[in-house]
Amino acid sequence: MRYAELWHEGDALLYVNSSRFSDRYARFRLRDIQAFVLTEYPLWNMWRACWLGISAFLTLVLVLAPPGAWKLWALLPGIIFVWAIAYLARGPRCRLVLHTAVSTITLEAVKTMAQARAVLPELRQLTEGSQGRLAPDGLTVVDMPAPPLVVAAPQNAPLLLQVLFGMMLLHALLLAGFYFANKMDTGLGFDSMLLFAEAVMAVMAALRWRTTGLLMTTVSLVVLVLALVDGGVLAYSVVKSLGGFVEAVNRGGARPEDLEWLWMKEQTVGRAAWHAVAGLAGWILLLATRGSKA
Amino acid sequence: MGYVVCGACAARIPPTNWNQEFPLPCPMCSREVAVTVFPVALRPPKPVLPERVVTGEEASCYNHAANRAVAPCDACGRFLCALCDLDAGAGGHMCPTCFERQETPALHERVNYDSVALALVTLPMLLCWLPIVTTPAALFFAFKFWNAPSPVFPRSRWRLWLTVLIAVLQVALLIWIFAWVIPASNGRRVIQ
Repeated sequence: MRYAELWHEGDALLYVNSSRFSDRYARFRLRDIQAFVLTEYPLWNMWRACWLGISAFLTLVLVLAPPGAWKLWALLPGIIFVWAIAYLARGPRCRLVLHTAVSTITLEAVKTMAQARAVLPELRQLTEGSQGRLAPDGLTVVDMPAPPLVVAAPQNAPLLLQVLFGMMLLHALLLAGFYFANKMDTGLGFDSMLLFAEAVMAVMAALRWRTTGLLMTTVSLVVLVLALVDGGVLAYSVVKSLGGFVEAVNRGGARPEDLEWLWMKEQTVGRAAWHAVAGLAGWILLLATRGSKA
Repeated sequence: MGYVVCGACAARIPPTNWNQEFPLPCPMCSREVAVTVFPVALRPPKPVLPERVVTGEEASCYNHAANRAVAPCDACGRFLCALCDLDAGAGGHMCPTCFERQETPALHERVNYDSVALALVTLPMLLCWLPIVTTPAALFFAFKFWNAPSPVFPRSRWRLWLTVLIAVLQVALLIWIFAWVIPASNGRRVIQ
Protein backbone atom coordinates (compact mmCIF):
# COMPACT_ATOMS: atom_id res chain seq x y z
CA MET A 1 0.00 0.00 0.00
CA ARG A 2 2.01 2.94 -1.28
CA TYR A 3 1.07 6.55 -0.87
CA ALA A 4 2.45 9.65 -2.52
CA GLU A 5 2.88 13.26 -1.45
CA LEU A 6 3.89 16.46 -3.18
CA TRP A 7 5.54 19.23 -1.19
CA HIS A 8 6.59 22.74 -2.09
CA GLU A 9 9.36 24.66 -0.42
CA GLY A 10 11.22 27.66 -1.79
CA ASP A 11 12.17 27.08 -5.41
CA ALA A 12 11.55 23.33 -5.51
CA LEU A 13 8.91 20.64 -5.41
CA LEU A 14 9.54 17.47 -3.44
CA TYR A 15 7.73 14.36 -4.64
CA VAL A 16 7.67 11.42 -2.23
CA ASN A 17 6.28 7.99 -2.98
CA SER A 18 6.36 5.89 0.15
CA SER A 19 5.58 2.31 1.08
CA ARG A 20 6.13 3.17 4.78
CA PHE A 21 9.19 0.92 4.74
CA SER A 22 10.99 2.90 2.07
CA ASP A 23 10.60 6.32 0.48
CA ARG A 24 11.24 7.09 -3.16
CA TYR A 25 11.68 10.78 -3.63
CA ALA A 26 12.74 13.39 -6.13
CA ARG A 27 13.31 17.12 -5.98
CA PHE A 28 12.37 19.25 -8.95
CA ARG A 29 13.53 22.83 -9.17
CA LEU A 30 10.75 25.04 -10.45
CA ARG A 31 13.02 26.52 -13.10
CA ASP A 32 13.66 23.02 -14.55
CA ILE A 33 10.02 22.01 -14.99
CA GLN A 34 9.15 21.91 -18.65
CA ALA A 35 5.53 20.80 -18.63
CA PHE A 36 2.63 19.28 -16.76
CA VAL A 37 0.36 16.92 -18.67
CA LEU A 38 -2.99 16.11 -17.11
CA THR A 39 -5.01 13.28 -18.67
CA GLU A 40 -8.55 12.60 -17.50
CA TYR A 41 -9.80 9.05 -17.12
CA PRO A 42 -13.51 8.28 -17.17
CA LEU A 43 -15.16 7.46 -13.88
CA TRP A 44 -17.04 4.43 -15.18
CA ASN A 45 -15.54 1.57 -17.00
CA MET A 46 -16.65 -1.97 -17.50
CA TRP A 47 -14.61 -3.49 -14.67
CA ARG A 48 -15.82 -1.00 -12.07
CA ALA A 49 -19.39 -1.58 -13.14
CA CYS A 50 -18.85 -5.35 -12.90
CA TRP A 51 -17.30 -5.10 -9.43
CA LEU A 52 -20.10 -2.90 -8.21
CA GLY A 53 -22.85 -5.04 -9.73
CA ILE A 54 -21.48 -8.38 -8.57
CA SER A 55 -20.70 -7.21 -5.03
CA ALA A 56 -24.12 -5.55 -4.71
CA PHE A 57 -25.87 -8.68 -5.98
CA LEU A 58 -23.94 -11.02 -3.67
CA THR A 59 -24.47 -8.76 -0.68
CA LEU A 60 -28.20 -8.64 -1.36
CA VAL A 61 -28.47 -12.40 -1.85
CA LEU A 62 -26.56 -13.18 1.32
CA VAL A 63 -28.41 -10.59 3.37
CA LEU A 64 -31.74 -12.05 2.23
CA ALA A 65 -30.56 -15.59 2.87
CA PRO A 66 -31.98 -17.45 5.86
CA PRO A 67 -30.41 -16.69 9.22
CA GLY A 68 -27.28 -18.54 10.12
CA ALA A 69 -23.72 -18.72 8.97
CA TRP A 70 -24.67 -17.34 5.53
CA LYS A 71 -25.07 -13.88 7.02
CA LEU A 72 -21.40 -13.67 7.95
CA TRP A 73 -20.37 -14.26 4.34
CA ALA A 74 -22.25 -11.09 3.37
CA LEU A 75 -19.46 -9.14 5.06
CA LEU A 76 -16.94 -9.76 2.28
CA PRO A 77 -19.01 -8.60 -0.73
CA GLY A 78 -20.43 -5.89 1.54
CA ILE A 79 -16.95 -4.50 2.18
CA ILE A 80 -16.15 -4.66 -1.54
CA PHE A 81 -19.42 -2.89 -2.33
CA VAL A 82 -18.76 -0.09 0.18
CA TRP A 83 -15.21 0.25 -1.10
CA ALA A 84 -16.46 0.48 -4.71
CA ILE A 85 -18.98 3.16 -3.74
CA ALA A 86 -16.33 5.15 -1.87
CA TYR A 87 -14.00 4.82 -4.89
CA LEU A 88 -16.65 6.11 -7.27
CA ALA A 89 -17.64 8.91 -4.92
CA ARG A 90 -14.20 10.45 -5.30
CA GLY A 91 -14.99 11.27 -8.91
CA PRO A 92 -13.13 10.81 -12.20
CA ARG A 93 -9.50 9.75 -12.06
CA CYS A 94 -6.56 11.40 -13.78
CA ARG A 95 -2.87 11.08 -14.46
CA LEU A 96 -0.58 14.04 -13.89
CA VAL A 97 2.85 13.82 -15.49
CA LEU A 98 5.73 16.18 -14.82
CA HIS A 99 8.35 16.69 -17.54
CA THR A 100 11.86 17.99 -17.05
CA ALA A 101 14.76 17.85 -19.46
CA VAL A 102 15.99 14.56 -18.04
CA SER A 103 12.99 12.87 -16.51
CA THR A 104 9.31 12.22 -16.85
CA ILE A 105 7.53 11.38 -13.61
CA THR A 106 3.91 10.49 -12.98
CA LEU A 107 2.87 12.39 -9.88
CA GLU A 108 0.80 9.76 -8.12
CA ALA A 109 -0.03 12.18 -5.35
CA VAL A 110 -2.67 13.60 -7.68
CA LYS A 111 -5.11 10.84 -8.55
CA THR A 112 -8.50 12.46 -8.97
CA MET A 113 -9.66 15.32 -11.14
CA ALA A 114 -10.86 17.13 -8.02
CA GLN A 115 -7.31 17.05 -6.64
CA ALA A 116 -5.89 18.10 -9.99
CA ARG A 117 -8.26 21.07 -10.25
CA ALA A 118 -7.09 22.22 -6.84
CA VAL A 119 -3.37 21.59 -7.27
CA LEU A 120 -2.58 22.28 -10.92
CA PRO A 121 -3.35 26.06 -10.90
CA GLU A 122 -1.11 26.41 -7.87
CA LEU A 123 1.71 24.45 -9.53
CA ARG A 124 1.29 26.50 -12.67
CA GLN A 125 1.43 29.74 -10.71
CA LEU A 126 4.55 28.65 -8.83
CA THR A 127 6.36 27.54 -11.98
CA GLU A 128 5.37 30.62 -13.94
CA GLY A 129 6.58 32.72 -11.02
CA SER A 130 9.98 31.13 -11.54
CA GLN A 131 10.10 31.01 -15.35
CA GLY A 132 7.55 33.48 -16.67
CA ARG A 133 4.51 32.73 -18.72
CA LEU A 134 4.29 31.12 -22.12
CA ALA A 135 1.38 32.45 -24.14
CA PRO A 136 -0.49 30.04 -26.42
CA ASP A 137 0.26 32.35 -29.38
CA GLY A 138 3.98 31.74 -28.97
CA LEU A 139 3.52 28.02 -29.34
CA THR A 140 2.45 28.16 -32.98
CA VAL A 141 6.05 28.65 -34.01
CA VAL A 142 7.26 25.55 -32.22
CA ASP A 143 9.14 23.37 -34.64
CA MET A 144 7.81 19.95 -33.82
CA PRO A 145 7.92 16.89 -36.02
CA ALA A 146 4.54 16.17 -37.50
CA PRO A 147 2.71 13.39 -35.69
CA PRO A 148 2.63 10.13 -37.60
CA LEU A 149 -0.44 9.52 -39.67
CA VAL A 150 -2.81 7.26 -37.83
CA VAL A 151 -3.87 4.45 -40.07
CA ALA A 152 -7.10 2.80 -38.99
CA ALA A 153 -6.39 -0.64 -37.66
CA PRO A 154 -7.92 -3.45 -39.70
CA GLN A 155 -11.07 -4.69 -38.06
CA ASN A 156 -9.78 -8.04 -37.06
CA ALA A 157 -12.23 -10.06 -35.09
CA PRO A 158 -11.09 -9.80 -31.48
CA LEU A 159 -10.21 -12.87 -29.50
CA LEU A 160 -13.10 -12.03 -27.22
CA LEU A 161 -15.67 -12.89 -29.89
CA GLN A 162 -13.91 -16.09 -30.82
CA VAL A 163 -13.97 -17.16 -27.17
CA LEU A 164 -17.61 -16.12 -26.79
CA PHE A 165 -18.86 -18.10 -29.76
CA GLY A 166 -16.64 -21.06 -28.87
CA MET A 167 -18.02 -21.00 -25.35
CA MET A 168 -21.57 -21.04 -26.70
CA LEU A 169 -20.86 -24.15 -28.76
CA LEU A 170 -19.31 -25.78 -25.70
CA HIS A 171 -22.35 -24.78 -23.66
CA ALA A 172 -24.65 -26.45 -26.17
CA LEU A 173 -22.60 -29.65 -26.04
CA LEU A 174 -22.58 -29.62 -22.23
CA LEU A 175 -26.33 -29.15 -22.05
CA ALA A 176 -26.86 -32.05 -24.38
CA GLY A 177 -24.29 -34.17 -22.56
CA PHE A 178 -25.72 -33.57 -19.10
CA TYR A 179 -29.24 -34.26 -20.40
CA PHE A 180 -28.39 -37.57 -22.05
CA ALA A 181 -26.20 -38.65 -19.12
CA ASN A 182 -29.09 -37.85 -16.78
CA LYS A 183 -26.86 -35.65 -14.59
CA MET A 184 -29.03 -32.55 -14.59
CA ASP A 185 -28.36 -31.65 -10.97
CA THR A 186 -24.62 -31.54 -11.63
CA GLY A 187 -25.18 -29.53 -14.78
CA LEU A 188 -27.10 -26.72 -13.15
CA GLY A 189 -24.02 -25.04 -11.66
CA PHE A 190 -22.00 -25.29 -14.89
CA ASP A 191 -24.96 -24.08 -16.88
CA SER A 192 -25.49 -21.00 -14.73
CA MET A 193 -21.81 -20.08 -14.68
CA LEU A 194 -21.46 -20.42 -18.45
CA LEU A 195 -24.59 -18.36 -19.03
CA PHE A 196 -23.32 -15.62 -16.74
CA ALA A 197 -19.92 -15.64 -18.47
CA GLU A 198 -21.60 -15.42 -21.87
CA ALA A 199 -23.67 -12.43 -20.80
CA VAL A 200 -20.60 -10.63 -19.43
CA MET A 201 -18.59 -11.35 -22.58
CA ALA A 202 -21.44 -10.19 -24.78
CA VAL A 203 -21.53 -6.89 -22.87
CA MET A 204 -17.75 -6.54 -23.27
CA ALA A 205 -18.01 -7.27 -27.00
CA ALA A 206 -20.82 -4.75 -27.42
CA LEU A 207 -18.80 -2.10 -25.61
CA ARG A 208 -16.00 -2.56 -28.17
CA TRP A 209 -18.21 -1.38 -31.00
CA ARG A 210 -15.49 0.93 -32.28
CA THR A 211 -13.20 -1.94 -33.19
CA THR A 212 -15.58 -4.80 -33.87
CA GLY A 213 -17.85 -2.98 -36.31
CA LEU A 214 -21.62 -2.71 -36.63
CA LEU A 215 -22.34 -6.31 -37.61
CA MET A 216 -20.46 -7.90 -34.73
CA THR A 217 -21.88 -5.40 -32.27
CA THR A 218 -25.39 -6.31 -33.39
CA VAL A 219 -24.61 -10.01 -33.03
CA SER A 220 -23.19 -9.40 -29.54
CA LEU A 221 -26.30 -7.50 -28.52
CA VAL A 222 -28.55 -10.27 -29.87
CA VAL A 223 -26.52 -12.83 -27.90
CA LEU A 224 -26.82 -10.64 -24.81
CA VAL A 225 -30.60 -10.39 -25.13
CA LEU A 226 -30.94 -14.15 -25.70
CA ALA A 227 -28.68 -14.90 -22.74
CA LEU A 228 -30.73 -12.61 -20.51
CA VAL A 229 -33.97 -14.23 -21.66
CA ASP A 230 -32.42 -17.65 -21.13
CA GLY A 231 -31.25 -16.63 -17.67
CA GLY A 232 -34.73 -15.41 -16.86
CA VAL A 233 -36.28 -18.68 -18.00
CA LEU A 234 -33.72 -20.63 -16.01
CA ALA A 235 -34.32 -18.57 -12.88
CA TYR A 236 -38.07 -18.99 -13.29
CA SER A 237 -37.62 -22.74 -13.70
CA VAL A 238 -35.47 -22.92 -10.58
CA VAL A 239 -38.03 -21.04 -8.55
CA LYS A 240 -40.85 -23.11 -10.00
CA SER A 241 -39.26 -26.50 -9.51
CA LEU A 242 -37.58 -25.88 -6.17
CA GLY A 243 -40.34 -23.85 -4.63
CA GLY A 244 -38.13 -20.82 -4.24
CA PHE A 245 -34.47 -20.25 -3.59
CA VAL A 246 -34.84 -19.67 0.13
CA GLU A 247 -36.88 -22.81 0.60
CA ALA A 248 -34.36 -24.83 -1.36
CA VAL A 249 -31.52 -23.55 0.84
CA ASN A 250 -33.57 -24.33 3.94
CA ARG A 251 -34.05 -27.86 2.69
CA GLY A 252 -30.28 -28.21 2.40
CA GLY A 253 -29.81 -27.64 -1.33
CA ALA A 254 -31.31 -28.80 -4.57
CA ARG A 255 -32.24 -32.46 -4.82
CA PRO A 256 -32.20 -34.29 -8.15
CA GLU A 257 -35.84 -35.28 -7.79
CA ASP A 258 -36.80 -31.58 -7.56
CA LEU A 259 -35.33 -30.84 -10.94
CA GLU A 260 -37.76 -32.66 -13.16
CA TRP A 261 -39.72 -29.62 -14.25
CA LEU A 262 -36.58 -27.60 -14.66
CA TRP A 263 -34.96 -30.06 -17.00
CA MET A 264 -37.85 -30.81 -19.22
CA LYS A 265 -36.74 -32.22 -22.51
CA GLU A 266 -38.19 -29.42 -24.64
CA GLN A 267 -36.59 -26.73 -22.53
CA THR A 268 -33.15 -28.29 -22.54
CA VAL A 269 -33.28 -28.98 -26.25
CA GLY A 270 -34.38 -25.41 -26.88
CA ARG A 271 -31.59 -23.97 -24.75
CA ALA A 272 -28.95 -26.19 -26.34
CA ALA A 273 -30.30 -25.34 -29.79
CA TRP A 274 -30.10 -21.58 -29.51
CA HIS A 275 -26.59 -21.84 -28.07
CA ALA A 276 -25.50 -24.08 -30.93
CA VAL A 277 -27.10 -21.92 -33.61
CA ALA A 278 -25.76 -18.66 -32.18
CA GLY A 279 -22.27 -20.12 -31.69
CA LEU A 280 -22.13 -21.55 -35.21
CA ALA A 281 -23.55 -18.39 -36.77
CA GLY A 282 -21.02 -16.30 -34.87
CA TRP A 283 -18.11 -18.41 -36.03
CA ILE A 284 -19.35 -18.35 -39.63
CA LEU A 285 -19.60 -14.58 -39.44
CA LEU A 286 -16.13 -14.32 -37.98
CA LEU A 287 -14.65 -16.48 -40.71
CA ALA A 288 -16.59 -14.67 -43.43
CA THR A 289 -15.48 -11.28 -42.15
CA ARG A 290 -11.87 -12.36 -42.06
CA GLY A 291 -12.12 -13.80 -45.56
CA SER A 292 -13.63 -10.65 -47.03
CA LYS A 293 -10.90 -8.40 -45.55
CA ALA A 294 -8.00 -10.56 -46.61
CA MET B 1 11.66 19.77 -25.47
CA GLY B 2 10.89 17.19 -28.11
CA TYR B 3 7.24 16.46 -27.63
CA VAL B 4 4.47 15.96 -25.11
CA VAL B 5 2.47 12.74 -25.08
CA CYS B 6 -0.97 11.81 -23.84
CA GLY B 7 -0.88 10.13 -20.43
CA ALA B 8 -3.27 7.40 -21.56
CA CYS B 9 -2.27 6.39 -25.10
CA ALA B 10 1.19 8.01 -25.48
CA ALA B 11 0.12 9.78 -28.68
CA ARG B 12 1.85 13.09 -29.35
CA ILE B 13 -0.14 16.15 -28.40
CA PRO B 14 0.31 18.88 -31.04
CA PRO B 15 1.58 22.30 -29.89
CA THR B 16 -1.73 23.86 -30.89
CA ASN B 17 -3.28 22.04 -27.91
CA TRP B 18 -0.70 23.31 -25.41
CA ASN B 19 -1.49 25.95 -22.77
CA GLN B 20 -5.14 26.21 -23.70
CA GLU B 21 -7.71 27.45 -21.25
CA PHE B 22 -9.62 24.15 -21.29
CA PRO B 23 -8.45 20.56 -21.80
CA LEU B 24 -8.67 19.36 -25.39
CA PRO B 25 -9.26 15.81 -26.62
CA CYS B 26 -6.26 13.68 -27.46
CA PRO B 27 -6.06 13.16 -31.25
CA MET B 28 -5.71 9.41 -30.75
CA CYS B 29 -7.82 8.31 -27.77
CA SER B 30 -10.13 11.34 -27.43
CA ARG B 31 -9.49 11.64 -23.68
CA GLU B 32 -9.37 15.16 -22.28
CA VAL B 33 -5.74 16.26 -21.97
CA ALA B 34 -4.53 19.53 -20.46
CA VAL B 35 -0.93 20.37 -21.38
CA THR B 36 0.82 23.20 -19.57
CA VAL B 37 4.20 24.03 -21.07
CA PHE B 38 6.67 26.48 -19.53
CA PRO B 39 9.28 28.69 -21.22
CA VAL B 40 12.24 26.48 -20.29
CA ALA B 41 10.82 23.77 -22.55
CA LEU B 42 11.32 25.94 -25.62
CA ARG B 43 14.67 27.43 -24.66
CA PRO B 44 17.36 26.25 -27.09
CA PRO B 45 20.05 24.17 -25.44
CA LYS B 46 23.30 25.95 -24.63
CA PRO B 47 26.22 24.94 -26.82
CA VAL B 48 28.75 22.93 -24.86
CA LEU B 49 32.43 23.40 -25.59
CA PRO B 50 34.72 21.17 -23.54
CA GLU B 51 38.05 22.60 -22.40
CA ARG B 52 41.23 20.84 -23.42
CA VAL B 53 43.71 19.40 -20.95
CA VAL B 54 46.63 21.80 -20.79
CA THR B 55 48.96 20.31 -18.22
CA GLY B 56 49.62 16.68 -17.38
CA GLU B 57 48.37 17.11 -13.81
CA GLU B 58 44.79 17.93 -14.82
CA ALA B 59 42.20 15.20 -14.69
CA SER B 60 40.80 14.20 -18.03
CA CYS B 61 37.44 12.83 -19.09
CA TYR B 62 36.93 9.05 -18.97
CA ASN B 63 35.48 9.06 -22.48
CA HIS B 64 37.59 11.84 -24.03
CA ALA B 65 41.19 11.78 -22.88
CA ALA B 66 41.94 15.18 -24.42
CA ASN B 67 39.11 16.97 -22.55
CA ARG B 68 39.43 18.40 -19.06
CA ALA B 69 37.15 16.78 -16.45
CA VAL B 70 34.63 19.11 -14.86
CA ALA B 71 32.65 16.77 -12.56
CA PRO B 72 32.49 13.14 -11.46
CA CYS B 73 29.45 11.02 -12.30
CA ASP B 74 27.17 10.70 -9.26
CA ALA B 75 26.48 7.06 -10.04
CA CYS B 76 29.82 5.53 -11.11
CA GLY B 77 32.33 8.22 -10.11
CA ARG B 78 33.97 8.50 -13.52
CA PHE B 79 35.37 11.90 -14.42
CA LEU B 80 33.36 13.68 -17.08
CA CYS B 81 34.09 16.54 -19.43
CA ALA B 82 31.51 19.21 -20.20
CA LEU B 83 30.44 17.17 -23.21
CA CYS B 84 29.68 14.00 -21.20
CA ASP B 85 28.31 15.73 -18.10
CA LEU B 86 24.52 15.25 -18.17
CA ASP B 87 22.33 17.25 -15.83
CA ALA B 88 20.74 14.65 -13.55
CA GLY B 89 18.43 17.17 -11.95
CA ALA B 90 18.83 19.02 -8.64
CA GLY B 91 22.44 19.84 -9.49
CA GLY B 92 23.47 16.23 -10.03
CA HIS B 93 25.87 14.92 -12.68
CA MET B 94 25.63 11.74 -14.64
CA CYS B 95 27.58 10.10 -17.44
CA PRO B 96 25.72 8.94 -20.57
CA THR B 97 26.22 5.25 -19.69
CA CYS B 98 24.67 5.56 -16.23
CA PHE B 99 21.92 7.75 -17.63
CA GLU B 100 20.96 5.01 -20.08
CA ARG B 101 21.13 2.27 -17.45
CA GLN B 102 19.01 3.83 -14.77
CA GLU B 103 15.43 2.63 -14.47
CA THR B 104 13.82 5.48 -12.54
CA PRO B 105 15.90 8.51 -13.46
CA ALA B 106 14.68 11.04 -10.96
CA LEU B 107 13.66 8.92 -8.02
CA HIS B 108 16.05 8.17 -5.18
CA GLU B 109 15.21 5.63 -2.53
CA ARG B 110 15.77 5.45 1.22
CA VAL B 111 14.78 2.67 3.57
CA ASN B 112 12.91 3.53 6.77
CA TYR B 113 14.72 1.14 9.07
CA ASP B 114 12.67 2.16 12.10
CA SER B 115 9.44 1.10 10.36
CA VAL B 116 11.07 -2.14 9.22
CA ALA B 117 12.20 -2.92 12.78
CA LEU B 118 8.78 -2.11 14.23
CA ALA B 119 7.01 -4.27 11.65
CA LEU B 120 9.48 -7.06 12.30
CA VAL B 121 8.68 -7.07 16.00
CA THR B 122 4.90 -6.61 15.79
CA LEU B 123 3.54 -8.42 12.72
CA PRO B 124 5.05 -11.87 13.54
CA MET B 125 3.16 -11.78 16.84
CA LEU B 126 0.20 -13.02 14.83
CA LEU B 127 2.05 -16.28 14.36
CA CYS B 128 2.98 -18.29 17.38
CA TRP B 129 6.65 -19.22 17.04
CA LEU B 130 7.90 -16.76 14.44
CA PRO B 131 9.02 -14.16 17.05
CA ILE B 132 11.77 -16.57 18.09
CA VAL B 133 13.50 -15.62 14.86
CA THR B 134 12.16 -12.14 14.18
CA THR B 135 12.62 -10.59 17.64
CA PRO B 136 16.44 -10.83 17.53
CA ALA B 137 16.33 -9.55 13.95
CA ALA B 138 14.23 -6.57 15.02
CA LEU B 139 16.64 -5.80 17.86
CA PHE B 140 19.53 -6.03 15.42
CA PHE B 141 17.82 -3.57 13.05
CA ALA B 142 16.97 -1.22 15.90
CA PHE B 143 20.53 -1.01 17.26
CA LYS B 144 22.31 -1.19 13.91
CA PHE B 145 20.38 1.74 12.47
CA TRP B 146 19.84 3.72 15.69
CA ASN B 147 21.93 6.59 14.35
CA ALA B 148 21.12 6.10 10.67
CA PRO B 149 20.26 9.32 8.85
CA SER B 150 16.61 10.19 8.82
CA PRO B 151 14.73 9.40 5.61
CA VAL B 152 13.11 12.09 3.48
CA PHE B 153 11.28 13.74 6.35
CA PRO B 154 12.67 14.06 9.88
CA ARG B 155 11.41 11.31 12.17
CA SER B 156 11.72 10.90 15.89
CA ARG B 157 13.01 7.65 17.36
CA TRP B 158 9.75 6.54 18.95
CA ARG B 159 9.48 3.58 16.57
CA LEU B 160 12.91 2.36 17.58
CA TRP B 161 12.16 2.82 21.29
CA LEU B 162 8.88 0.94 20.85
CA THR B 163 10.67 -1.82 18.93
CA VAL B 164 13.18 -2.29 21.74
CA LEU B 165 10.45 -2.28 24.40
CA ILE B 166 8.28 -4.86 22.59
CA ALA B 167 11.31 -6.98 21.73
CA VAL B 168 12.44 -7.06 25.37
CA LEU B 169 8.95 -8.06 26.46
CA GLN B 170 8.86 -10.79 23.82
CA VAL B 171 12.24 -12.12 24.91
CA ALA B 172 11.04 -12.18 28.52
CA LEU B 173 7.87 -13.97 27.46
CA LEU B 174 9.82 -16.54 25.45
CA ILE B 175 12.19 -17.18 28.36
CA TRP B 176 9.22 -17.64 30.70
CA ILE B 177 7.56 -20.06 28.26
CA PHE B 178 10.68 -22.13 27.70
CA ALA B 179 11.93 -22.04 31.30
CA TRP B 180 8.69 -22.54 33.24
CA VAL B 181 5.55 -23.18 31.22
CA ILE B 182 6.76 -25.97 28.94
CA PRO B 183 8.63 -27.95 31.64
CA ALA B 184 5.63 -27.60 33.98
CA SER B 185 3.16 -28.82 31.35
CA ASN B 186 5.44 -31.73 30.48
CA GLY B 187 5.55 -32.64 34.16
CA ARG B 188 1.77 -32.73 34.40
CA ARG B 189 1.50 -34.85 31.33
CA VAL B 190 3.88 -37.43 32.81
CA ILE B 191 1.83 -37.60 36.02
CA GLN B 192 -1.41 -38.12 34.09
